Amino acid sequence: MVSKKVLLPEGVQDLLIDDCIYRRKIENQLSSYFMKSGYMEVSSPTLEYYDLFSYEYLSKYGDKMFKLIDTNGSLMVLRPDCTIPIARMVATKMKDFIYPLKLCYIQNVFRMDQEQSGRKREYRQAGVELFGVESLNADVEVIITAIESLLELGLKDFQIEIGQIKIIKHLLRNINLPEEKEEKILLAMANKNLILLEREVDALEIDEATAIILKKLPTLFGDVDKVLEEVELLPLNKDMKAAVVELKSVCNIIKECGYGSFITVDFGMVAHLGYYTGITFKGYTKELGAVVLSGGRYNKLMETYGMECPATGFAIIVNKVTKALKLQGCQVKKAEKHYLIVAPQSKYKEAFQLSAELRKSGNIVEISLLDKGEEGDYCSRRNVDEVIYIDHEDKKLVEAL
Amino acid sequence: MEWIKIGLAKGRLLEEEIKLLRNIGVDCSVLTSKSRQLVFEIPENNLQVVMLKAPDVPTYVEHGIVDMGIVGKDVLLEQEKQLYEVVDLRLGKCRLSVAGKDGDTMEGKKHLRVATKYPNIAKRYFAEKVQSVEIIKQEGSVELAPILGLSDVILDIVETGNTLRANGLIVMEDVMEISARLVLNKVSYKTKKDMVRKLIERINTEVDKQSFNV
Repeated sequence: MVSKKVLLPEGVQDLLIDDCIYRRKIENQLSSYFMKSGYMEVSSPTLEYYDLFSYEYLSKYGDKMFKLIDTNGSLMVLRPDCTIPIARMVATKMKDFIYPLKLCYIQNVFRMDQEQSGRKREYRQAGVELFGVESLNADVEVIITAIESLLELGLKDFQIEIGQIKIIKHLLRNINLPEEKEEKILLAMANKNLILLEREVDALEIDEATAIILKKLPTLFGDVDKVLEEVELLPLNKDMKAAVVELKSVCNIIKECGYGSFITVDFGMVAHLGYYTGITFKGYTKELGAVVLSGGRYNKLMETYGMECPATGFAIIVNKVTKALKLQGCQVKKAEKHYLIVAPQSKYKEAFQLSAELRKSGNIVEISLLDKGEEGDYCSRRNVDEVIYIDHEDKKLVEAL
Repeated sequence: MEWIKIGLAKGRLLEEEIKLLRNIGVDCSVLTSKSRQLVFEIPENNLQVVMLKAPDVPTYVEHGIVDMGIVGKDVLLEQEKQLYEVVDLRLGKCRLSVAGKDGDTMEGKKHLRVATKYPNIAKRYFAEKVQSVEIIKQEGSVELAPILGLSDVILDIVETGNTLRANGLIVMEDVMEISARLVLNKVSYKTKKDMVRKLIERINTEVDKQSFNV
């Protein structure tokens, strides 16, 4: 057997120098943008109790969590999600803060996904959470923050797709199906499996209007105006109409801000029904067949922790957005100059003083640790821009490479 | 030029998949050549065709390496990937069945040994029946397992039943009907919506026409 000493577990990876430079740059841009928009950073621990998560969440994702046993026998998990721990933090420690409360984070999450499926089991999320605002102003704000974050990173041609989970919720509440049936219908909708959906809906004893809407919802996605026109033709009740108006208003404000070209809608976005309560959204690019960010409103979550508080937010999957940027050919430009100072031991002090001075103006400065004459290879492999030789008489010779 | 990439499952479905593409007006002459090439370009239709082993089709589609794929429902059920499943192509129809030696029965078996290429489907199916089982994963020629005593029964796809009969096996229970499906990557359905939709419409029309003829 090959020794585990030199192997990595599945789904995790080392980041070498360039990957780290790239990641740090992206995260700095994101966190500085979040802060400029008034979000304050928080950080939750990597370990949480298994019991933190609701029964509903556990029944869906419980077997995907990495679990550990505490010394007293309690079950702990590696943070599988950033929002739930932050909700706990807010409900237990930040109740008396001033609201609206705007928080942001950049943290790793751990999920035990299918083996050998090419998916990561540890990845980084950068996101914001906005607590305490019921009105659609908060929905607009987080979506615009999402758009501007991606723009800040230099991502082009991305799409933010907006959904409204209230419509399906109203529908399901009206017909009150057994859980099993409901799940089947939602799965067929989420997978846009229109054949199965039609079969399932036709087998139900429900009114015609509901059946029409159920069958139509997953086909209603794409261009905002076109889809909204189609939606308005459906036999919606008062509550559903209000939900459509809400989505429409959100889209209109985003358009007024000049970001209309980035948004589309999908009324078939029905995943995570137990968690989301209103406007939801996802972001992606053409080049990468995966979602780079997702978010939405979760007004009920805080109740689990004993606090009534509307909330919304989103998370950017840092690895995915990095991949999308690379596919678009976006590269990190080296801003600073890289100096190497070569000096005899007797002149170390002079070399040190010079390095301190050059670093002050933002340059990368190294004092050569090799014997004189051996620095050639080092300079070319490290892309050094200039070598400064100091000789015994303190004379400086600058050689640009 | 913007391409639509489609993954086709090699094997029992391939001929019918190519026929379907031909019927919707795709020039498939490059596909039918007996070369070992796996990626083909059909510029007239903006189509890039990738030949994959059936169980790899959902993986390629999920990761967005191809925009869409054609693959049997059996493979989709076994893998449960995150995909859009939009059209039942009604090709390669067969059944997923439990079979065993003629004269044998599953009744009263406290611990049933099941040989199958579909361990996840088998696990779910017998769990629903509250039958405790031991799944033995096979890569092919599943029919051998009960004959040679490796398992009590098999769970496999049955087309004509000829292979079963030739080996002295009979179908004990049908699990479900299987046919080929058109699956889509969740993102490219949105980002290449117009192109993908047009293709789906043509495929839908063709599928309806074919089933009308039958």
